Amino acid sequence: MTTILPTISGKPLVVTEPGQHQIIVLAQPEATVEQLIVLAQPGVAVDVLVFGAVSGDAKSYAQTRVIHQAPETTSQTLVKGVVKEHGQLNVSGAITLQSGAKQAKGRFQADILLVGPDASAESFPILEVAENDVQAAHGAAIGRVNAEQLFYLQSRGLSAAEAEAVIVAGFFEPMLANVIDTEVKKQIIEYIK
Amino acid sequence: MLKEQTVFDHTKSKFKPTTHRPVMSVPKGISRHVVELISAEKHEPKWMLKKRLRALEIFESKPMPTWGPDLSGLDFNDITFYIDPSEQRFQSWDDVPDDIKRVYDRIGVPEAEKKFLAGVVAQYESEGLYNHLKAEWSKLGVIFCSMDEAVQKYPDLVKEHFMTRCVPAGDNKFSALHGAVWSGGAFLYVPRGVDLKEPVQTYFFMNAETYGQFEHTLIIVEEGASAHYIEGCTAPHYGRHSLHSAVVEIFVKKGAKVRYTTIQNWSTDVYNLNTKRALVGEDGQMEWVGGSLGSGVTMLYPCSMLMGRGAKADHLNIAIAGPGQHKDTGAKVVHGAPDTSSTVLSKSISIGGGVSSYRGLTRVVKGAKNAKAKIQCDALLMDNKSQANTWPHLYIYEPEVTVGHEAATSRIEEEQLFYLQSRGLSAEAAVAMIVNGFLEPIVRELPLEYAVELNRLIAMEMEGSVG
Repeated sequence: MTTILPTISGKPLVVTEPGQHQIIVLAQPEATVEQLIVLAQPGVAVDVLVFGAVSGDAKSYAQTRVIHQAPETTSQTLVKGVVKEHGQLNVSGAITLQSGAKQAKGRFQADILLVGPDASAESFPILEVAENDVQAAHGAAIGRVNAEQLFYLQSRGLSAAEAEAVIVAGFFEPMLANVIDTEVKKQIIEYIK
Repeated sequence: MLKEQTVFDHTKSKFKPTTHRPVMSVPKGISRHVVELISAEKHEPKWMLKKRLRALEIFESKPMPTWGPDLSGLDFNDITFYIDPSEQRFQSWDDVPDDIKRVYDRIGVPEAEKKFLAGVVAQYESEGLYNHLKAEWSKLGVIFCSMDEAVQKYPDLVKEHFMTRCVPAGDNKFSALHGAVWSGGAFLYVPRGVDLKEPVQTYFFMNAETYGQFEHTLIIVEEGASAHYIEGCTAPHYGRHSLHSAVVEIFVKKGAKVRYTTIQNWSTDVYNLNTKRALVGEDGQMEWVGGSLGSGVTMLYPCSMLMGRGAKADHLNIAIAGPGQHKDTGAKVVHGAPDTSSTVLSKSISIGGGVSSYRGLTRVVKGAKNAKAKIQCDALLMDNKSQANTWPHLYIYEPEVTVGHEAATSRIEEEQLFYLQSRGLSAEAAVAMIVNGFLEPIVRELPLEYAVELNRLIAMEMEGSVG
């Protein structure tokens, strides 16, 4: 498993080396992070993890597009976003399975938690399939913090702000746990804060 | 057929219903002159002509949409925007091509309906039943008539609701075109508290006028009333035109309930570009059940505007894209008030090089607290020449909501086929069974005769898709 941190926004990432790769994308305030990923050889598998933490008055755009060019390629894109205060998170994620990409598997899932009273989100999951011997699915969910969970934590003595922080940390945790590179993990923990 | 050219002086025409319709023809293309001719032919009041001309101005000023399917084959100068309803596509049943006849025989269309659908006769009579129902309805104050008749008889209702708040002419290029050249269609008014038990079907006065190029449907269901409106038919319909651009406007008032069912099966040389929208008031319920089978290029996104607290919308849609067909369909839901909820279920099948796309929009405005929206799109790809796309747009500006979208693309698995064949089914019957099972959640909401025809039609489409 190799970890790839895209550095230059907008530059296509062509993956040719078979095996499992992890690609980490962090949404930035008042910026558009755009990543095109091309799976060009059979046996290439990528996990794209997109973290989005937005607060203040910021607007963040995170766009990913995974193109399955070769057969037997696998991709999974997971987006987790938390929007606080007056922030807005825009997520766009495309999976394109080209004709001939037999036995390819593509999946996209974006979950966005709206925390602030004025938080908002725009989500465009995109699925483009031109080959029938594939597995392709996507999903998107947008919602608020569960009121019962908040109440439970507060009944145990946490303040409202602390309870919210616990829920937000728990929301990112499953994806964070999947990050292999420990240095990168530290960076993400800093980013989420 | 020789046609006599009649020139109207619309300033002299008083709107009076005529028993004898002079045969008229309108030159190809669209212009102020054409719009005036259409209005004069219908003996329309001045306000309607004014509305048409305003729509024409908007049409001319708007650019063609730059998104969606390729519309470059559409030449407005080559289209006749008004065809006399009495004109037929084929002179007699013998002129109808064999493959068209074969389709009707296979899906079991009744004799009289066949002739109408193939364009041999301009009128399909089912007046006995219709007149009976009409008498019942008029006792309740229900109005159901052609749109042209409504303009003459109920100008106040039409003026208030026709292309005003629901679908204004300026909504898009094709709604503007429609506003300028609309013709035919139906008008339904259900007064307060009236619950219509039987579905209202355009089938009752199925003639070339209601099934025109630019038909307009206006449905007003008052507070606490309910209605089920059925339009179109499952069997293929061979019209004389290449562009079909209808507008449907539905007003669901407080606590009212409306179900709108439509099946479209135009022949595959038709561009089918429609605008359909419902304004749903407090605690109102709107249900769209739709099937898009025919036409070459289809762009259709029925829209529910949930404007009152507790309003609800359900969208059920089937799209089948065969060879050469491009289906760009979906659903739009705007949550404009608190406690509103919506579900969208879309099923598409692509076969033989067809392209089917789901294009949807879900918008929750700031303040629409406790809004709930759920969207599910399933696509079935029958081969690797075809294509399936899913493009949902979620705009959420209120945090206290629950919004979810799910989509998956699948194919028929060898194991499923093998299992069914091991039970004695032929490969074709097995494929048809799997496809029918895929569509079942929506087909079961269709009226029986539509569902039966649809199942047979699918079995036909699937022929040759195996092996």
